[in-house]
Amino acid sequence: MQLNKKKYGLIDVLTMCIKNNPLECILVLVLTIIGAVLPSTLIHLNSNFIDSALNYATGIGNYKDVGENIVKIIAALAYMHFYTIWVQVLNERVYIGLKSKFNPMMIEKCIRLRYEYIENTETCNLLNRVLDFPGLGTVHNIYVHICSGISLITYFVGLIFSVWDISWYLVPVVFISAVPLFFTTYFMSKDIYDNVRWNSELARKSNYLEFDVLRGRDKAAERTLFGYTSYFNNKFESYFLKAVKLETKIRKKWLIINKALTLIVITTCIYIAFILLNYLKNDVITLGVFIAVISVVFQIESVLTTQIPALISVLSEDCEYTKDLSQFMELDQEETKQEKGSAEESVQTIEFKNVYFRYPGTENMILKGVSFKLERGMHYAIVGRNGSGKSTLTKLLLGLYNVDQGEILINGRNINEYPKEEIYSLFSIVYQDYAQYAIPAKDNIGIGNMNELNDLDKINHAARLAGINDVIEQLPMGLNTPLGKVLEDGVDISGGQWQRVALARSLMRKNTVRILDEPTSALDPVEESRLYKKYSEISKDNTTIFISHRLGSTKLADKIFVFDGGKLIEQGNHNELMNDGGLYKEMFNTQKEWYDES
Amino acid sequence: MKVKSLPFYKVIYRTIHYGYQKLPVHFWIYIIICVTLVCFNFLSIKVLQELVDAVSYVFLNNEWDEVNSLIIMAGIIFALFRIVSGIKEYFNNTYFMTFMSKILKDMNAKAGRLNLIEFESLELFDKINMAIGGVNYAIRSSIDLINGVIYYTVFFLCIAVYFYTIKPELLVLGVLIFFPQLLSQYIKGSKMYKLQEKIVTYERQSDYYRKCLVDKTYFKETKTLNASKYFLGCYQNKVNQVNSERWNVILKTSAISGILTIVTYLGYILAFVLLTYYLLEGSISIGHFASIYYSLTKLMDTMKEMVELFGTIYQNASLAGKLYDFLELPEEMGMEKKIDTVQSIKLENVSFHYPYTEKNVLNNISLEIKKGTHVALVGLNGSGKTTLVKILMGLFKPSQGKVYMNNEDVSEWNTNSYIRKISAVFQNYGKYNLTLRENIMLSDVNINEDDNYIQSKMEVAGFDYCKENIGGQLDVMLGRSFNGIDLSGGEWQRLAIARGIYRKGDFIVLDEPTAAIDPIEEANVYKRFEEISKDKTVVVVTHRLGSVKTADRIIVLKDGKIIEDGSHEELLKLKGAYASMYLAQAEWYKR
Repeated sequence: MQLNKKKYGLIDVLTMCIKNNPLECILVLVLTIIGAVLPSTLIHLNSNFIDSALNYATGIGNYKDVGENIVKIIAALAYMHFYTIWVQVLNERVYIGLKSKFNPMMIEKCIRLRYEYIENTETCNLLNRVLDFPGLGTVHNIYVHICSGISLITYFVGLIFSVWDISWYLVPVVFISAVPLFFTTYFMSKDIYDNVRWNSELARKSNYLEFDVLRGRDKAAERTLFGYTSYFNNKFESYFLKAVKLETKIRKKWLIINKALTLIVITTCIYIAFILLNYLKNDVITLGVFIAVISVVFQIESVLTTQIPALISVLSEDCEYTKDLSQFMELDQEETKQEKGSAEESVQTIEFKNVYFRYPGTENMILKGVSFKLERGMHYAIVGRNGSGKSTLTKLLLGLYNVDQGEILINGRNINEYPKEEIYSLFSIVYQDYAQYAIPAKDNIGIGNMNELNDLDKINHAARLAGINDVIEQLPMGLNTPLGKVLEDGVDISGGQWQRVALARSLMRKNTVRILDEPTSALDPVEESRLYKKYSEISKDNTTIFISHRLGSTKLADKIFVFDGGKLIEQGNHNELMNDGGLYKEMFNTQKEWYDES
Repeated sequence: MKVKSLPFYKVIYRTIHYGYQKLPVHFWIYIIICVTLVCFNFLSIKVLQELVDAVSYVFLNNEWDEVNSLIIMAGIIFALFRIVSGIKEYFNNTYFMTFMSKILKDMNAKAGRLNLIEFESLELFDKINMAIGGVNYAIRSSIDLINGVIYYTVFFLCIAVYFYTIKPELLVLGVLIFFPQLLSQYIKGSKMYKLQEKIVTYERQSDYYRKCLVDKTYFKETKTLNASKYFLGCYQNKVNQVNSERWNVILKTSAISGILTIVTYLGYILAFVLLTYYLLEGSISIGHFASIYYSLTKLMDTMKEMVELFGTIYQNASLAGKLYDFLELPEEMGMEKKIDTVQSIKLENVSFHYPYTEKNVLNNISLEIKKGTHVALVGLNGSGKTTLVKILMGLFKPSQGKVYMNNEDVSEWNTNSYIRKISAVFQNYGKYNLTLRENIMLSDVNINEDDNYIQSKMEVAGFDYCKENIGGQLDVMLGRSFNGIDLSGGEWQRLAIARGIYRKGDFIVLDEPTAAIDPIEEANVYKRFEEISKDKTVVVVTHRLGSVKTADRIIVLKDGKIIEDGSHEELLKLKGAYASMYLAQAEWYKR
């Protein structure tokens, strides 16, 4: 099975399920269809049976006919009793199949998405809807809904045929009378969905208050100290009740319309009952047939006024999910490397040529005409105030975003000419917002280089360099201890320790450009100083870029870039910049003052 | 992790009681609607039977008028039936949602009343998650139960009476059909419930791995590490575990319900054959036969419906039990105490360890902080600084030892009394996707201060509320979730500082307050902060030793113990841990 870029409708979802588990799905469909045909067959059998019994009682027929009919009915009932169990088991297989094959595929697709989608609120919400809530489980729900739809339609068609010989126009007439009801049901579901459900702003806000502000774990300390629960709880309630009120209003409107239309259907049914009675009077049909058909008419009434509308309303909600699904499928992916060609390449030079950049969908230029050149083996420091664009540089270097103007060259080639995976392999990075993976310590460091995931020597070496080896040795199961609180027996470590794990992770790869974005923000002075001292060992044979607003770190750099307001305003080594007397000097002196003994 | 849940009947009792207490009017209206509906439902069956009876009678006797009026009557009853069920559905929805809002509100309030320490454990997290799942089910099961009991009691009573009047033996058959179904649903329900308990951990883990792959927090790093394969493997592994558990349970329950269905089926066949026998024998009329046969089918369907409904209610109730497990978590109790000002906070031999761990994070700490002192708390990573300030703030209770405020033992006080005059800027401050105003005033929602007051606090924190996209407006939305203004890390942190000083108090804790703020601004923030907090007690936790050298008192922690305590000059002279840390940092600025 492949995930294609196209519009996904309900039928496409069904075909996806069928492709995922062909045997199970087809069996389910066959079993369901037979199960849906049987009720109308039973009506036929019943009427035969009643007639034959009546004949026998009045002395015209014989018991053989009666017996034959009984056997037929018993056989049909046997099927009706047991097929649902099979369908349940088979559907479970479909569910499991989707979870183990389809879901990972969707996730893989998501991994390869372009980075900007993740940072964009709209697409990020879309991803959440597709993957999380209502989530991938909806695909199975849709499949189940479609199956019950097929069953309902088959059942309905069966009913039509069961009264076909008596008068073919009966059922179509009733059906037509119900068409307006179907439409209004669809519009009602859509109305409610658009206005009140979880995608509405009101619902999202109350969700946020509920899950994040009022019950979230990371806000627990502030919540306890500041005691804002009752304030936001009232706000949450008012949002929630507002949504309820809105939904109630919409439902009331549609309730009246729907019930008025239901009356039309019932009137039609009554009219038909009279026609049938007439047939009976004139001996066109037998008593058995009359009883059978009259019960069919009322079954049709119930199918048309409740079952089909209920199905329409779930399917129309499902349609909203397939819309999201189609949108998701149409998101652009990064182009992946076709052949493993020049994988061994390393970075000789990196050049920014007059780069302008703003985040997609925003007005604010983050970088305004930045040019500089980095060379192999040199150590660079990038400093600047908050919001001067320091961290954005990393994202551009990795090709996570495209520049608006200018170009970025790696070894003289435009960054866009490289496959993404190759660019990623050229860098090793400690992010400012480093990830705290709740996996065993060994893997936490090892995934820095997937080829050496199990190379314990290298992992220990990286841990030692990052100064985290003591901490790891003290863990209950050493390197195999899961960190964080997700896996069983996981041990939580402090912020500074996490940061060193992230650092160790970045040390796993050799021969890369090493970017350290505020790598000491959570470290204590002793650790920070130790790290600086080990820096030459850490950065041996590497090009390094050290991003920080702690200016002590610039001592390590061969060249310092000072950013302000999206521009590169100063560059040079420490002494040159101090002589220039610009922003660098001001920043350095402010910090130095703290350590001056006077 | 062993969680003992409430028994089924208690959950049901509590849920209905809960619903009745919260929304008594809704409750009664709902009952009335249910009763009306069941009357109509029964009438509609009755009228159809009458019709069949009448037709079979007139068919032999040619009396049509009665039949005509019966058909019209059937139409009216059907119409009313549909209308009432529409009203019920409409009301059901309102009832459900309103009920939901009440329960969620209680849950939120509960979360606010829990001890902070509870949030450190994984168990609470699981409980909350299961409780959230429970909310839906609690409401569903209570509403369904009211409906089910009314509907099915009436229905089966009528059918039973009807059968009994014709042939008492038929009743036995009814029971034969009924019980196997009930049993199979019961078994299924309890198996599924056990399964749920078992796989909840796996599911949380597979969810986590999925997050490592595609969630915003991890996406960038996982991608650029080219480490997706690793997490996909983990994810798949957990999913397979969940799947195989599920599959086993489904196979078992299906086998059981298969066997029990055989019994039901045989019962049904027996009833059918028996009826035919009576008919052929002549002990019941064709009219009776037809209507019993019709109601037998209806009975089967209804029975199936009912058994399934009660099966779901049973399953739901076990899940709903989780809600009560959560709502009944122990809360801290304690005396209300009115504190006007914090004169001193004293710790005496305080030790602390987190629940489910044995290692003491704090060891035998004694310390007194008097009003007006500026204290800096420094130490290596993991030396227990954050835990210590949480004890000072009254957010954690010591495992051993005592805490005194204004020389009074606080062990009997409730947290709210203790923290009334305490404020803080936390290390992991919240980035609230709320308005700018709310982001600040949430630290003290009971005071009503004007915009000037809020603005002055932002000025101290160095938050530029006049920058172009905010433009001095306090009611702009912040954060990306609701298309608000996205702030940089440094700006969020300054906002957290403004929040901390908005709260009225005279004891404030700053835990790494400037980690994300650039040096020039950092110095300014400290300067302005000093000015406004001259007569307050301040405790600063920081790694930037230069920034706290003016503190009245510097306390150095190591492995959960206080190892040095004194002013900057004193500690430098001591040439101990502080001196070496300070010099280590200063070294990088000597050029």
